[in-house]
Parts: sequence; structure tokens; C-alpha cells
Amino acid sequence: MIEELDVRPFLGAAKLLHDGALVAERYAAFGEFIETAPGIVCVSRAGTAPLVLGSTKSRWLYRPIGLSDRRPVDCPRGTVLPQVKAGGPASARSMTSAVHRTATHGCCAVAVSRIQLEGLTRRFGAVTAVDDVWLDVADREFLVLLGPSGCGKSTLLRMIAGLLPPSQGRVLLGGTDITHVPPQRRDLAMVFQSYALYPHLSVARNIGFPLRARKWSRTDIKAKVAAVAATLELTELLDRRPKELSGGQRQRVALGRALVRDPGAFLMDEPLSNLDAKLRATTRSEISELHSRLGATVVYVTHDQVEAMTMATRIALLDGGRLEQLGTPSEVYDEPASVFVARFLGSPAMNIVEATVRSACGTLAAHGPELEVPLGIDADVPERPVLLGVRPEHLTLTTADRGDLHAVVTAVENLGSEEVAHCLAGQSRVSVRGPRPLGVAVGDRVHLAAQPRYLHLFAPGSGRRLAWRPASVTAPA
Amino acid sequence: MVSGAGGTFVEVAQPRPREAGVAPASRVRLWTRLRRGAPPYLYLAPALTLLVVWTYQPLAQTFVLSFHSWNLVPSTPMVEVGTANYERLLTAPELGASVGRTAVVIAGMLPFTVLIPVVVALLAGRVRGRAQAVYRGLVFAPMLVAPVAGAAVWQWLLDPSAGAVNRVLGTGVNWLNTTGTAQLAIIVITGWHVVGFAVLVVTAGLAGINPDYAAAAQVDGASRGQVTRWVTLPLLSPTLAFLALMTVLLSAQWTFPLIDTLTQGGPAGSTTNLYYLLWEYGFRSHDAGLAAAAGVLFFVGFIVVAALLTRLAERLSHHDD
Repeated sequence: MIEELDVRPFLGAAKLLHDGALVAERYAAFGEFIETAPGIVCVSRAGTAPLVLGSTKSRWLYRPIGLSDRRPVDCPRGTVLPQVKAGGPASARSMTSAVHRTATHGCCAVAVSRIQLEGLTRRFGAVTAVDDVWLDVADREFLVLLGPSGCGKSTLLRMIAGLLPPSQGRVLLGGTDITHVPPQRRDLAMVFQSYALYPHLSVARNIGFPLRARKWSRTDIKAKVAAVAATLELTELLDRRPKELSGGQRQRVALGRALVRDPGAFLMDEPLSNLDAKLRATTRSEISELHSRLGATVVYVTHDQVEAMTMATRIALLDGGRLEQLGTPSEVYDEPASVFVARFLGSPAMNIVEATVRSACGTLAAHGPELEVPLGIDADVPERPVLLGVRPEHLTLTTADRGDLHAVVTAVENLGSEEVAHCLAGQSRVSVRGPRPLGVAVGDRVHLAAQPRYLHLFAPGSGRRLAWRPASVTAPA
Repeated sequence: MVSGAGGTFVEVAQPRPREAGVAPASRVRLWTRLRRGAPPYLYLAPALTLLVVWTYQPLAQTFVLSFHSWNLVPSTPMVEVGTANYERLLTAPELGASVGRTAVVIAGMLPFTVLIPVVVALLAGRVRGRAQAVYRGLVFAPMLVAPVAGAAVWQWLLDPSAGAVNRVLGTGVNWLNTTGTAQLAIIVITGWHVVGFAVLVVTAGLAGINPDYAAAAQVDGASRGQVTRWVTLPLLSPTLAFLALMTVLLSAQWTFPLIDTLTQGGPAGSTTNLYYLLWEYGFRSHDAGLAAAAGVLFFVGFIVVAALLTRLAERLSHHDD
């Protein structure tokens, strides 16, 4: 008789369960195995069809989840998993195929934590908080949802978590539609901005809460909580109540409560916003490290561009509930898709100046009051108005005859290592950032230049980026 | 020693105010200080006056009266009797019985002030929109009915021959004149009366719980029932302790108007609780000294109970921040 283990939370994230630590050792090099309880080993996030393998003392049991054939197949104790070459997460693909092969005769599992949002929309009365967002978060990705307050990023995260039903659209986890699955049955862990630590429970009981809900035995919970607490340096604090902890300690407990379940993906809602600047910097790198160690999928909400730039594998910039741009940190910074993105990232914000693009002698240049900037494009196009953008650090001080932009300094800020000069060029405010000292004083007339590759053009009406396509005039994206 | 151009390292001094010393304390005139300090006390004055006139002064008078013998007739002088009233009270057989009945009333009231309100408030919380307000309004309505008016209606409902209760239950019980059922009837009617208030208190308590806790518990995998049992109820416990405290301290008072209009402490004293006993001593037997002694004793007793319950409530609250 086969007795099946209670392995319920498997929406999208499949796990391999086995009753020997041996298997964990064998595959440890892949970072794929997570020990969820003594005697139970899970493999996750390797790539394809989600399968689950449960185990009993004497036999194994595997069952494909999400496949049409749901009949359990048993294989005798001692079945050895296929030999897979060690080699770190990079060989996840070979692992996947090996796992896939074995799945046919019965002992493997794979987890996929890809999150897809398809046209997700949420309205509150007349207000549209999230407006038709399409996103595909790959497995193992660290996606940051970035935007100013009120841009809908937290609403979007709550819809992924299942705490808020979408007005329209679908949420897919590992290819399975979970739009109408309640949060309890989504294999997602969430870290709240307020941490939401249960004030009446000790740190140990807070961290163990998800396991208690999954009906783990007391001893298993204790062992798992102790392991998680050790990795987060919380061992000393396990008997304390949340109110007896500092902000940083609370943050780690909240993280521990998410980690303890080995979830398919982590959702984080501004987890660092209640920490002081110094602690925020260290916690930032800790979370990044955690992400690379676990190889987990993370969707991280923040309004802090530094967090986004340093932690993300990709950034999704939101404004007014709409997705403005999706790309790697350098893509988003170097080629902002709109004026909003350009001005949101970078400090001080990108300079945006109204100008007209004109061709003279076969090359293009942006013209305006106190302004004549060559764009470095050889072409002949009809005149058109544009918004010219250039980052403060890409402007250099130069002499009058070589300057593209002429301005008067109105203020100089000392940042310690650098200085920022705020200037007025015609009617436009322009700032220049450079190593200290810049050598300018308030009231000075300065001449500024920028290399053509650092210039950004945007359409005046829509604010979208204008990209140059040879042989034809660019159109708003 | 080092030769050549002379020089020495000097530690940079810490910034310090140029003129050391404490700033002289500015002397403010007495009148100015008074004028600045007075407003808070002025704001408190009306409430304090009422408290003294209507609570502390009668309390002191009761205390004095408890050592006298007096029949409430203004022309009769009060006679000092020492502790005789207390001795009589503590040896009276009806005291023990009425304490027991008070305990029964409190125990009988707890379901109406704690259990039912929690269930109703949790269920009402699941109802959305305008229906929620209607639902709560209906539950709260009995609180707005004057106790004596409610008692009159209940007297009809409980009438042994034509009452609706007997007709619905198909019984012929004389509810208010049978020793076993009179107390039950008093408890149910009082419960019906205060349940709305208790629901309101619980609803306010629930509204004060950060919704993030329930959201976190759901994401953590707790079912609806588990969220209620493991998160909501523990966080609600300070509110529940407050309601329990109210019940213990005020049950006997809440039942008073009903006892007075429906049973007058009967039948055979089966609904005579502490407060009704006190009232009987004072205004039936016109034994003001004995009634005052009983009042002082109950006052002290309830202070002890209240102190214990308040400490319990303190320990239950988690100072959610």
C-alpha cells in the first residue's frame, strides 16, 4: 500500500521528495535541493514539467502535477536518481533533461516559478490603479517593480499574491492559471512593508507559522526554524516578541518567515523602506546574495532607484498604473524609453531641454536658445521639435568656442566626492555633475558639451523615446 | 629629536560653544506662570466637579452612613452604631445566595457579551457594502429601546397563557414566576439588550487590527478559520478582556431595571442579585445603614475583581505597532 505524503502547495512549483539525505548531497552542487524537513528533499526550479514525488518509509511515489495522467506510480525503495554531472546552476538544463528522462520511469520533479501577468488590470471605482500590465518574470529572475508612490506597484504585487482580485487579466505561475486560486494555495511567500510580524507570537513561532499552517510536526518545525534562524543570525532572538526587536531584526524575521517555506517565488513589498540608510545598504546586499544562493524568483516592489539598480536583473518601471519600460538596469538607465523613465532614474534627474532638430550641411543638430548640439547623425530630415535629454554626469565644462550649451550657474551643491552645478540655459534648468571641485561659482557663465552617444531624444507630445533608424525619420515609439 | 623646521601635531579640538556655562534661568513672574499653567485644569474642571458631586461625595456619604442606623425619614436623626451594620450584613443568610445568583447572571451574560458578538462581528465583516451597515444596525437596535419599555414587551411575549414564546415553543411555562426559569428569562432579555453594544465594541476592535496580519497569514498558507483562530482572535483578546470586565462589573446593574419591572426579585428571591438585595435593604426595609454597608462592601469587592481583570487585560494586549 502506498501512503502519500502531504505535499499540497504545488501550484507551478513542483518538488521532488525523497526520504534520503543522500540525494540532497548528490545534487547539492546544483543548488536545486532544499531540505524542507528531515527525510524530505525537494528539488525545484530546474525548468520544465512540474512533477511531484512523495515518499514513505518504504516506497516512493511520484505524481505528475498539471499533466493529464494523475495516476500514481510507485518504484521500490533504493531507486537511485540518475547521475548528473556536478557544475552549479549553469548545468540546470542538463539536470532538467536528466530529470525529465527519469520522470518517465518514476522518480523526479522539476519546479518552475515563472510568473506571467497577462493584461492585468485593477480598478478602484473610477480610478485605474493598474492598467493592462503584461509581464513575464522568468524563473530565477529578480524583477523590481519600480515607480513613484501611487503608481500601482503594490497593487500589482497584491494581485500576484492573490490578496486582491484583478478586474481583468490573468496571473500564471509556472504556466498554470492561478488568477482565481486563493493566496493560501499559491506557492508564493510575501514580505510586507510593515513586516506584519504577528505581535502575539515569538520570533520562532512567527517564522514557523507557514509550516504550522501546513500541518508540519512540532519537531520538524523546530528543526527547520532553527536552520533558517541560523542563516539569518536570529538564533539568539527566537524567544523574543516582535516588539522587543529592532527594525533590522524585524526585517530579518519577516525574511525568515518567507524563507522557511522554500516557496516558488518571493514577493517583497518595499521591505527596506523602514530601515535607516546604513542598514538598508547592508540588507540590500544580503538579499541579493540570498537571491543568487537560492536561485529563487523574486518580485520586488520599491520606489528607491538605488535598490532597483543594484538588485534587479530586470526593472519594470510603472507610472500611473502603466508599464513604462521593462529592461535590465543598464538598459533602463542608458536608453530610457520615456521622459518619465529618464527623469525617474539618476540623481540629479536627467536634463530635459526643448529643442528643434534641424539638418545643416548633411548632419543633424538640436537647436534652441543658447543651444546648438550636434547629434552625430549624418542625414537630412525635415525640421521637428524634440525634447533633448542629457544626464548631468555626461555634461562637461568646456571653452566658449567648443561649447554646445551656454548657461549661467545659479547654485553649486557639494556632495563630498562630487559637485553639482545648477545652471540656467535660456529658460531651461540644466545641472552638471562632476568631480569636486568643478571650478565654477554662482553667477559664472559656463559652456557645456556632451558627446552625441549620451544624448537622448524624446517626442514632445507623448514623451516617448525617439530612436534613430537609418534611412528613415524616427517616429515616436 | 627631530632637526630642521620645527612643528608639532595638534589634535583638532571638538566643537564647543564659545562661552562656556549654563544659560541663566529666565525668571518668569508668578502671574504669568499661573496663566500658562491654568488652562488644562480649567478644561478639566467641569468634569471633575461632576465627578466629585455625583460620585465621590455620595461615596463618602455612603461610607459614613454605613456606620449609622437611619430609616431614610429626614426628620429622624441618624444614630451611630459602629460596625453593627457590617456584622448584620455578613451574618445575613440572603447575602451568600445573592452572591451566587450574581455569579450565575455574570456567567449567563458572557455568551451575550463575548461569544455571540465575536461570531456576529466576524460574519458581518464578510458582508460587504451597504448590507453591512444594515446588518449592524439591526443588531444594535435593541440597545436603543429603553429597558423598561423592552421589559413591558417581553412581559407580553413571556405571558404564560397568550405569550408568543410559549406558542412558538409549544410550551406552557410561566417563565417569570417559576424559580428555575425567571433567572434565565432575565439573563436572555438583558443579553438581547446589550448584545448590540458588544457587537459594536468587537467591530471596533476588529477594525483596529492591521489588515496586513490577516493578509500575511493567508499568504503563509493559513485557511480562513486558521487566520481567525491564530491571528485575529489573539489580537482581539484585549477587546474581549475589556468586554469580560464590563460584564463582570455591570451585569448586575444591567439586569436591575428588568428585575424591578418583571420579577421584583422573585419568585421566592430567585432573581435577587447583589444590587437588587442592596436596593431592597434601602428602599423596601428602609434600612439605610445596612444598604450603605452593603454598598461599601460591594464597592470594595468589585474594585478587587476589576484590578485583577485589568491586570489580565494588560498581559493580553500586545501593543501592536
